Amino acid sequence: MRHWTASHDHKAWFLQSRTRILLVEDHPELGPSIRQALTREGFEVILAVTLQEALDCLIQGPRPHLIVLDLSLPDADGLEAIRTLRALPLTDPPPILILTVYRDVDLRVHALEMGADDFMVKPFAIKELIARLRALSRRGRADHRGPVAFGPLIMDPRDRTVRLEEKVVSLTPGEFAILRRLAMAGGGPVSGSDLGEPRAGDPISLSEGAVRVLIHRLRRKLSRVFGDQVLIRWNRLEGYRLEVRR
Amino acid sequence: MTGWISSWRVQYLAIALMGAITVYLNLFLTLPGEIANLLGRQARAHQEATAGILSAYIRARQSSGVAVEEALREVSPWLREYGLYAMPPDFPIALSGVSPLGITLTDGRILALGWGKGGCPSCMDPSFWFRLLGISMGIWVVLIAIHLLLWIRFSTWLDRIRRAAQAIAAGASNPPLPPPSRDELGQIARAMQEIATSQARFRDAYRRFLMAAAHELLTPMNIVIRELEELHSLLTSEEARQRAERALEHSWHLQRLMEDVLIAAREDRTSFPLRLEALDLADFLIAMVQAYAPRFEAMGRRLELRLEDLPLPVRADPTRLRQILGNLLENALRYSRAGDSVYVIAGRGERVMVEVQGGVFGERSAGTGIGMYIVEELMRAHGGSVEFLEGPDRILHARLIFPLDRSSL
Repeated sequence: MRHWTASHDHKAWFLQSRTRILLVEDHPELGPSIRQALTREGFEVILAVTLQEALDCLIQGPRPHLIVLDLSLPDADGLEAIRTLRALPLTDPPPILILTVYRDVDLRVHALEMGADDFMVKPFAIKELIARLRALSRRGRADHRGPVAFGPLIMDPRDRTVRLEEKVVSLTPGEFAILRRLAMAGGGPVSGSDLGEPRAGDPISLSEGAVRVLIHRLRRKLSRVFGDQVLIRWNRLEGYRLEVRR
Repeated sequence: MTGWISSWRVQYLAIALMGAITVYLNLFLTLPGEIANLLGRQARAHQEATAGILSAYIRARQSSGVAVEEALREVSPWLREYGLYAMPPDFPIALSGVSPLGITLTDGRILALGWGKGGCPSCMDPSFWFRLLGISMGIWVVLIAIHLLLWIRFSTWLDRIRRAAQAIAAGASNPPLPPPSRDELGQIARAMQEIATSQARFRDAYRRFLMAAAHELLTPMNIVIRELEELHSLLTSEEARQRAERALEHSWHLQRLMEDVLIAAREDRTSFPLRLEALDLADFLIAMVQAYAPRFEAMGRRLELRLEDLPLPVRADPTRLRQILGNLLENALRYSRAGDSVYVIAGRGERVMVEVQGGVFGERSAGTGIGMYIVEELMRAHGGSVEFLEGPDRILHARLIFPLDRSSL
């Protein structure tokens, strides 16, 4: 993954390192005109007019740094397209910016929940699109959406499932957040209050009472499916610790 | 407590019970006396008539030479049965417990009418009183039952009409009215249905007008914007470009307003009935905040969720909930500045409370307020409410209040 160095002179910054954008837009005029505007601003743009073309490009071509996705494509339902793109087994999935004609909040929330990073409603000012794309590419992608492994335990935040060998358990958002925090500690102990602290990419702060409730629920679910293969141990001095046995 | 006392049903029941007690006291205390009195008078008349017949018989026996004692012995069974006493002429009647009224026989004796057993033979019988008690109790129970039936029927109707009125107030076009009947209650129900129908018709017309107006205005607006963008790209003078940009910004704002009006008209909640289900608002908030945090981050803001309690059980429609929170977060994003932090704080007490702090509403003049109008309407439909609070730096916070779903605790 590339690491950009922030510069106040955007033009110079983009000349040093061109950001590659995969633009998925089927509108015969809008697609080329966005491409033209973005190219003028120093982006390298690959235009795809169907989801299939976009997938081919992602798998075979040079990996884009950002995806701009129109939600009304001829060969896919908008939200389905996000799901398909996010389901690709990419080690470094690029951020997705959605273009849509719908202003419905519900659709936006759905899109974000499915793994989109930002969206813009058509018609939009090209200046704003460029600003958003810059922000997205500058942010880099501290990815919190790909699967996380803890020994043989695989945690997938996309559908909040935990897998151990053949057994799968599906968790609520709260339970998953706690389990991931325990896993991030690498098997080391974490105190209840530390477990409740928000962290980069995981902006949830939980009271100690809430942590206790979530741990209780999590233990019940894990033991029902994994038996004593996955345990959350606790002692008064150190706190909680995740333990996985093969 | 006052609510309970002021309830119409309680008041009516109290009045009905008082009435029933009065009726019962009347039946039990007055009526038996009256009956006894009646029976006593009847017995007295029988006694007097019998005394007359017996004295005539005794006189007839005397005239045929039979001694008075002999004649009295002959009629003694009737004397006993009717409580009649043959007294010597000098008998102190006033002290004897027999009536001073009597029939004087030929030898100066008095055939006196006694007050005793003969007065009312059945009045002395305890089973008579039990029977009387049973009858009065029976009448009383029937009266109470009729009262209760009427009360149940009327209060059920009242309950239904109350629910229907509330539904009409909430905008329902088909309120759950009581079944039709021909009486006055049926007329009230029919009138309420008419109110609901005309209200729905008016709302529908209003909504269609709004949608049509917004639509009609949007089309030329889009052309204006396209032309302005074209013009902007053609301009070479810096000042002219700046002016065109300002005109463009205002045009976009105007376009957003119209689109908001369109959405508000389309999102009229009466056209989308709520599908309530028991859910944990905490899980919902975690998913929402996790989805929105990258967007906030991309625009230089910070979004954080603070969960004070868990679970946060509510009955809500997930789609609508997403709309409520999405609207608040979108506004927070729009009206906060780069570097700002927006906090979503959630906890529960008697109710479930969610507070979104930091530029939720921004300055009133800058926004359309239609997003917030939708939030208000949807919260009301969920039986909750939303409050907008002014915080430091003139930033408005939003506080959502949901009824706590105790059954899921």
